[in-house]
Amino acid sequence: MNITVTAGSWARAWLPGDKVQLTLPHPAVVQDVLAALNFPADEVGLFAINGIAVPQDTPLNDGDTVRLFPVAMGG
Amino acid sequence: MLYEKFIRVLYIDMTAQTSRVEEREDLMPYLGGVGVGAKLLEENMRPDLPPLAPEQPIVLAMGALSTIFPVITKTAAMFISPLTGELGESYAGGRLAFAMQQAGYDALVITGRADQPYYLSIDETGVKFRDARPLWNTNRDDAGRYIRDNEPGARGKRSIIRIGQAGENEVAYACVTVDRYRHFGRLGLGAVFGSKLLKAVHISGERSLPVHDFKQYFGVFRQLYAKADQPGGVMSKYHDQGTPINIEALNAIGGLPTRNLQTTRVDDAETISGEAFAENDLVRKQACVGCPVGCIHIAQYRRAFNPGFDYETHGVSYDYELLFALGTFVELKERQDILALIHEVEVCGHDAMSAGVALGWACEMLDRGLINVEEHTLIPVKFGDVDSLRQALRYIASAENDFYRALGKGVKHAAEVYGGEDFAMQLGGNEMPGYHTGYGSVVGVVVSARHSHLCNAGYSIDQALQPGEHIDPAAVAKKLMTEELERCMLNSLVICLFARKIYDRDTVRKCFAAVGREMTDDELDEAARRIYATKMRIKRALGYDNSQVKIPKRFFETPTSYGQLNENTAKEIIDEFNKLVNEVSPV
Amino acid sequence: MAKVLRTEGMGRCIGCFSCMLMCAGVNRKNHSTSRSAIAVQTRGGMSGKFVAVVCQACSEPKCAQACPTDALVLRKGGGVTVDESKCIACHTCVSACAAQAIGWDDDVNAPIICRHCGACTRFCPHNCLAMEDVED
Repeated sequence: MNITVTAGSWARAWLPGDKVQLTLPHPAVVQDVLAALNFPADEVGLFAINGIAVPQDTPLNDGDTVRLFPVAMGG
Repeated sequence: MLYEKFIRVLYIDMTAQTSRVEEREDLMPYLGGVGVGAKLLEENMRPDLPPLAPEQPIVLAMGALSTIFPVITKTAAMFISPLTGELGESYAGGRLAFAMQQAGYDALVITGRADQPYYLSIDETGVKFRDARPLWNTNRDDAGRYIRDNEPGARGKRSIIRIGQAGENEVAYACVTVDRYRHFGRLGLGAVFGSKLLKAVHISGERSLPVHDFKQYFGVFRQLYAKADQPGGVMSKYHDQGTPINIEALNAIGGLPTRNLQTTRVDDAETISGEAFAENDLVRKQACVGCPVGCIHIAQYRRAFNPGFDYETHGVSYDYELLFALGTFVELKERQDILALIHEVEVCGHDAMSAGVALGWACEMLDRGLINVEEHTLIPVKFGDVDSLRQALRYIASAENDFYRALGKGVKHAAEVYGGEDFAMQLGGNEMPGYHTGYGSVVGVVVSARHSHLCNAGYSIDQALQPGEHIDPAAVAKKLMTEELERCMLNSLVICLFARKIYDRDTVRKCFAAVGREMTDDELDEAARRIYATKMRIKRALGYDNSQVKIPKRFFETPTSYGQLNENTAKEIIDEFNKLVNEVSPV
Repeated sequence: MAKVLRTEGMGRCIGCFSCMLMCAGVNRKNHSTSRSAIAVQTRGGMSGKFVAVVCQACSEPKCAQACPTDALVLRKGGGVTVDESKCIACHTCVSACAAQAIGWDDDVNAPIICRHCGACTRFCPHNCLAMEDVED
């Protein structure tokens, strides 16, 4: 499947560029993008597809765009 | 003081216009910051008198490790809060801790009341009382400039903290602005200043502070600097778009308080997201002294004041909490409108979060017809209408009529007078923060010492759960208490909590060792408990009882990102937390 | 080639004072920015700009000319080095400096003048400060 992964500049140590295209075998779930990108799981607070947060074991469909967020923090 | 075995306290009497210094060895176990501050508050406060009585103290305390290590930047302010009537605790960065260290004071205790407005000019030689009558009724920019001009020779060596009209008029959530872009925000320290006719404090110094063990100190400094400054490292999200990244994140999970918490999501979050602000409005960043991260995001607010392209421009610092309180909470959808409202809050000298929540309640009250324009709001204050919202802020600052005077005492008080308690979004008397994420965020604010999401990071606990996951009240309470205790210790150093991932126990012990003060984990635990127990004694002395807190209904009606909350479960968590409080601080 | 400190990037400065803290630490083993040879200040308050007040590495330094005891010696690349053993603490160099960039160290009773060592440049998160190669 073709999956697009985006994140803010906070992730630039692990994500080369604003948008990365991945090919993942079917079936795959949302959190599988992390292993494919060598992205540290503990840096990710939530996953969103189309602006809505989804649990990390949500199945992916071809053409999905997954956005990564850090753990929400305040101050 | 660094390398010394005492805490150096400067006592200032506004009534007699005198000051004295004490070197307190007995305060060393409280480390600094919130620890020393809490103890000094307990010693000097008058529980038998109202919060704004002249006898009540303002305590400012820098930390045990202030300025000398990266991101250990803050100062703690301790006072009796005119908003809640109990513990007042607030933090600010800027240059204050640096200036206190340069001047040679770990803590300031200010009591009394002047007979006319003054500002204090403090340095190594002592305290001068400067006539502030020309400054009374000026905003923080004019006051800052006047004081800078009046105090030559202190360039680059000073901090100026000051109040605006809100503080002068004793608005219960008036803030103290620190070095233009930072604040002692919550719980109304500005009103305490105003009640003493204290317009500002200018503190500066040039004190020599020889390093004792340069090799060890520099080694630790370099490691921490590298961690803090690393591109894409643990601090980079605070530097890049900063905390406004939360707009998108909280919207995605449905935890973003919107329209007086009627809902928790907005349409078009992308137009007011952290990225949108950064790409379109951000013009520069600044740092507190001693921090290479530079998380202060300053946007350009450009205001047309006349037809024919007449603009004035202002730098407005923005953070997530402001974008929620003065944005989604009052349904502003244009970035320049949100910046306009933030700027108004700054000019008035209000706490941004409390002011936004107060406006949200007022808009809904008018919307429902429970109050009216003629007798109460004077203008139609509406969600999404930036001009009426700005005017309302000015009316609160000037206590324009009975309604605005009541609103200036906090949304809890205003609702007691006018109704709408179910949707006056406060917890423990303090207006809510920008997270509606679960039991952690709601109960965490209720049970925490200063009713802040930052005491115990309840919202972090929520986000570790799956929506609807089973809640074990004792486990949640334990997590909240563990974090709350740890932060008592961290807030006595005083780290900026953004760096809490860097300042794990190993690192904290290394920093202490590098300045000749070996601390074991047990000693740090003990210090945390000692500090927490002091805060609890203060709260009890001021009449606070955790089990008597009423949580407004809407917290249980509007679903959180975790799911809909149940009042009984919340109560169970509060009860479990109170058991833990009694272990640390027996009644 | 000699090196001198240049401060071309001050438009990027965030006012963190890391440069000053490190100058004072590395050169004078002191935690206080009052012992730093570089002074970061605002012009127009915090909403104005940040400037760096520091030795400009003059090739004909007025401070050295003014010193009555020849305690300030011209260094390669411009600016001076301070021979504290010759200093009589008259403070004349402080007022003579065209950039107002000379500080004073009360602990040793001698002027604080940037020696273009480059320590500050290694602790600026935005690379506002840099060492430049100049003719000797």
